[in-house]
Amino acid sequence: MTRARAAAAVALCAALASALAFASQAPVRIEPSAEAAIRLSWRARGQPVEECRTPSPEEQAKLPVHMRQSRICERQLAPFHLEVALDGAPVIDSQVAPEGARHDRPAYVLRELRVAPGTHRLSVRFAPEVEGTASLQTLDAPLELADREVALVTEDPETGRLVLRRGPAP
Amino acid sequence: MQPATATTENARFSRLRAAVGHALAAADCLADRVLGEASNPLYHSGAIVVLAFLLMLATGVYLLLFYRIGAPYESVARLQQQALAGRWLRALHRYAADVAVVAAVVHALRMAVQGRTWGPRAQAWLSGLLLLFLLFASGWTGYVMVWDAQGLLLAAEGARLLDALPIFGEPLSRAFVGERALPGPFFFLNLFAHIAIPIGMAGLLLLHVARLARPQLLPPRSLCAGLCAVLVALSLFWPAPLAPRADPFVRIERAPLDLFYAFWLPVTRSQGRSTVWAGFAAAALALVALPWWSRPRAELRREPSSVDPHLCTGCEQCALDCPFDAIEMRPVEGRATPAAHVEPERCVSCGICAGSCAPMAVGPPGRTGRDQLATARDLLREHPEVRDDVIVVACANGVPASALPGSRIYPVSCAGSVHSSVIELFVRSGVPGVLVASCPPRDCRNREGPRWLEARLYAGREAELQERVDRRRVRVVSARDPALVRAALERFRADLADQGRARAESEVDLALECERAAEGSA
Repeated sequence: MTRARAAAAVALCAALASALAFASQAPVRIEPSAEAAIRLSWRARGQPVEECRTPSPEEQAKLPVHMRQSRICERQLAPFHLEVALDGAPVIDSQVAPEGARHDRPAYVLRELRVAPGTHRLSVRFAPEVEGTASLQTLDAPLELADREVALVTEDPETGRLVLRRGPAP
Repeated sequence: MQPATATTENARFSRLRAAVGHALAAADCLADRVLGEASNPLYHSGAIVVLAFLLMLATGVYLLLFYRIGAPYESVARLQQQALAGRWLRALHRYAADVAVVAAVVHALRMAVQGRTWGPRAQAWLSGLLLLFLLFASGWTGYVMVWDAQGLLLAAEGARLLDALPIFGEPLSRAFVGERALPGPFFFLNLFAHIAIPIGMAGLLLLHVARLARPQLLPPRSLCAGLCAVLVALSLFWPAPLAPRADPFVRIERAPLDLFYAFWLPVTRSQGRSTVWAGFAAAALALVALPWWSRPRAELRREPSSVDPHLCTGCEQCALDCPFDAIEMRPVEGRATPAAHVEPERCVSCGICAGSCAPMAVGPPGRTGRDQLATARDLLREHPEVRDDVIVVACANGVPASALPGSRIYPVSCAGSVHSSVIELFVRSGVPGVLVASCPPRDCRNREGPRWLEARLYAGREAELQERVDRRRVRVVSARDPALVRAALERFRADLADQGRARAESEVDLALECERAAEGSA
């Protein structure tokens, strides 16, 4: 190997190795804006709702004898309604349906709101969409967020109430 | 001159294949010139993945000794403070993983461009794709293990995407929003996956090379040593960073991402989950369907080799030389010696068996030793002017004929398929010299063509070039770079000029047992 070729080989190896190392730890900008965030995350089990009916004789006749029932009941869980307002302005107003194909699994709230850093007032209202129920959850709290800070609204496992957290669980 | 091979390029795929092929060929030529053909890493891409895998295994055992699933970030931070071993071994572990991805992608590209994905090679292609997926999955678990900013990003984005699939009762993403501390079993399962996936990959590697004879699992020693030295030096002088600890209560502005494993992260985070899954599915489908999509049309596909049992002497040489284990010796009723039998579903029709069979009993239709001799005789009879210059026996997968203007070309499908009798015929007919231009030995599409060619011409391997042939008039050049082949041709011409004019025999009696046997069988 000539001296020039050896130098070229060293230069090529150094260039490739440097490219490898750079790409292995490339400083990538993940979140360009300095916005803060409010994250909502909790789990709620809705109230059971059962709808029963008596099948018609024609329906019964189509079924094998051992599968005929005098009453057919479909049990599922009631959905919830979530309302979130920031500084008095509504930002979320939607239904949260229970999970599962039959809607018989718990409902999960998992949302993230991007907000400008600074002082805000946050109001959260979470209630089952069943008339006459008292299991309403609310949160109304002032909030001061720094650049890129994330505040978490979640359920306190001991009290079962919505709380605002600014750091890891104790 | 009539070509001895037919192109198998498929119009549906040829344009893209040609573009990538040109880029790879240019990179091959550059690496050949700078590093030398024997140490060109592009020719050893598959073996480099295995070497990187072994490096990861060796360094991973050390890192595992210090890793704590109860305090993942803190244990990695302690490793990072070990200036003597931990810091650079962690960097070496990471860089080896990155090299594995680069080499695997280059390997897959080469196979796709060279058309080595369909037919009997489809098993290797599909198992290779699965290996690549497992490599990414293993890398993903490795970065989550560290539990720094990149680990959280990968875990959260992976969970977000998995939540789109209707298979989990509870959204996985909730685990990474800071609602509660991550449970210990999460890091235990992650560590388990990081160890179990590579073990599964080792098993899958056996399936990947199952249809190859004598698979080359490691690069040559010089390349192994060079690559290890470069990676160790890189680890010492450019250690892998440790990003800040994962914190779900801070939106990450900037993080050092390993683009070899997290290249998809910046793209998918800004897209909907359905779009991302559709993109993944489309890419996976295209890669899986490549063997069917890119294969030549039925009329262009080469037929597998066949054996004339009357000519086969049962010497086993074709079975020994076949690079794909497609030939086995089977007993024949009524005779003492077995006869060769080609397994059509394993045969890629490379024709190497045709060059290995002294009696010319085996080979693909139209490319057996007898067919080659007939073609060569026709050439000499119809174009007597070829005796004026060197004949270049050119491998179809090596330097294209267009790169050797003005040369007498005798094209063959693979240099390893050339029967030595053809070279003898040319030399004894008065051709000044025969230059066999093959592809580089480690880049042979048929794996071992140049290796067996050299052994037959110069080392007396069965189906050898007869001693009576003047070796000064036969030369082999193995190169991808047209300039190197042209230079070798010019040198050969100059050397031949010093030797004087070749003596032509009026009636070339090859005196080959094969020809006599062929006549007898006829």
